[in-house]
Amino acid sequence: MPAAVLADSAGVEAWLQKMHRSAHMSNYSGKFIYQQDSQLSLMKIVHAATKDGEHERLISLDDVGREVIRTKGSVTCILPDSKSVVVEKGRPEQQFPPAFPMKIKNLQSHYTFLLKKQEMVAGRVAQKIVISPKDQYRYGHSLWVDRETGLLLKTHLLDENGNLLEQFMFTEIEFMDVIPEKMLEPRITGDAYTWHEAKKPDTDINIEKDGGNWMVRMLPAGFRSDMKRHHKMPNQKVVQHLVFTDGLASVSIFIEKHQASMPNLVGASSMGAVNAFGMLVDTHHITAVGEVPRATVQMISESVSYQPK
Amino acid sequence: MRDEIKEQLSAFVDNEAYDQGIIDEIKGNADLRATLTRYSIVGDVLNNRYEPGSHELVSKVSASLDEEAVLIAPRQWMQKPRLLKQTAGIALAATVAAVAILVVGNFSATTNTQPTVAVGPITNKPIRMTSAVQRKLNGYLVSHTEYSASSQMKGMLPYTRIASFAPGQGPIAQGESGVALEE
Repeated sequence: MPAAVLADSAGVEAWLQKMHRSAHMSNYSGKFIYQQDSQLSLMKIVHAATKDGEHERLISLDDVGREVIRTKGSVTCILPDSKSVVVEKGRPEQQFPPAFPMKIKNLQSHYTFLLKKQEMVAGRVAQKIVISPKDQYRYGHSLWVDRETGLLLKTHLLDENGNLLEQFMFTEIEFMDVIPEKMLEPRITGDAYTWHEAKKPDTDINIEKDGGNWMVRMLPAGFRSDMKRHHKMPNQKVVQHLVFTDGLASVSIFIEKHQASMPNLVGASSMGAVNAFGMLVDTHHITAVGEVPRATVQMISESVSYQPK
Repeated sequence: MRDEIKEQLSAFVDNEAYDQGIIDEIKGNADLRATLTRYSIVGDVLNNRYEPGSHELVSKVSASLDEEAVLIAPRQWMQKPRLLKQTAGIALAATVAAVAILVVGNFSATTNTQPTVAVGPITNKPIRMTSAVQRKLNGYLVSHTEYSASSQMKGMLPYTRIASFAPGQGPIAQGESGVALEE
């Protein structure tokens, strides 16, 4: 491997570690623009790192005013447009701050990492990093990382042709020693709202009576199993949730028993740059969701099969 | 602010055909001038014309956005003229325009860039999903975001996808096989 590429990789890893630490450990408040396709939104974000862990609040500054509040152990989505609140259990963390999840050495088989020139974002000097996929199963990233603090100030998600799929960009940001608690409180109490809360099943049951396993035969190179869990969806159905990742891109597979009365996605769908593909496999419904090209979630979905014990 | 005024303002920013009366309106209306500034700045930001160092102005703009709580969109970036005709009478808000794209079936903008992986046929025909399917996919999106690698690296930014979707603008189904089972 050329020396320049190796040097870039080492430099990129240091920057990404700094970015990862800042994402979890900084106290800040800011506004950013989110653009996806023809949609443009202005968002406000507040992030606090305390001895209890992270506390985060994301507020859409449109006239709907959706909010997402993330604290240790839970994610709460307040959706005034549907007068509902969705609560999901947070990812269990072994330590705080969480360990740096990427292994650049492994990822180099599937991505090219380049350090570019520093640029200005939101009035701050930012280091630009370009991560390009080597195959058509995953997306590319351009990242602008704050030189001083390591916070991610701007990011582009790019398809395999380098076309922009989605971007985030801070327009202003303020770092603080301490975030006042009031800044992390939701505007809405949710008293008159319908609450949908995902729960852990009463017992750690397998959705398959015979104790067999669901197998995924087709994954992009470098993808490995990251997590497997069962949880109750707000509609009380038990869903098996599998996560596969190459360390940068992730795909979730949701498996649930099919019921004629319960609606499901059959075919492709998109939510921002996230693609989903759903299909019926015998008596179960499979839905793959991920920040990967649509063809990737379809390929993965179509390769899921049940292996009886 | 009236929708037709917003449309005229957007046309003015984009150097498209606009009613000359909008200039008099701008001169005599401070709110309109503030809106004009916001349209210009967001357009500059998205088209990489924004000059660092003028973020004081952006702060003022953001503050006024907080008060007005309006989404804004530079028109040339959205290929607006055709959409505007289809959404006549609707405020010039990006989320509204995105809903219009769904309805008129112009969702193929990104589908041509999909990789040619050997999988089953995919067409670009958008369809409406039932609200129950949307709710379920929204739940999946929350679960996926919480457990995905990018959230570990990018913090809360990926949750923007959940917070930014406008009413009726949940997940989009596509393709001839993209059939949501009815409730």
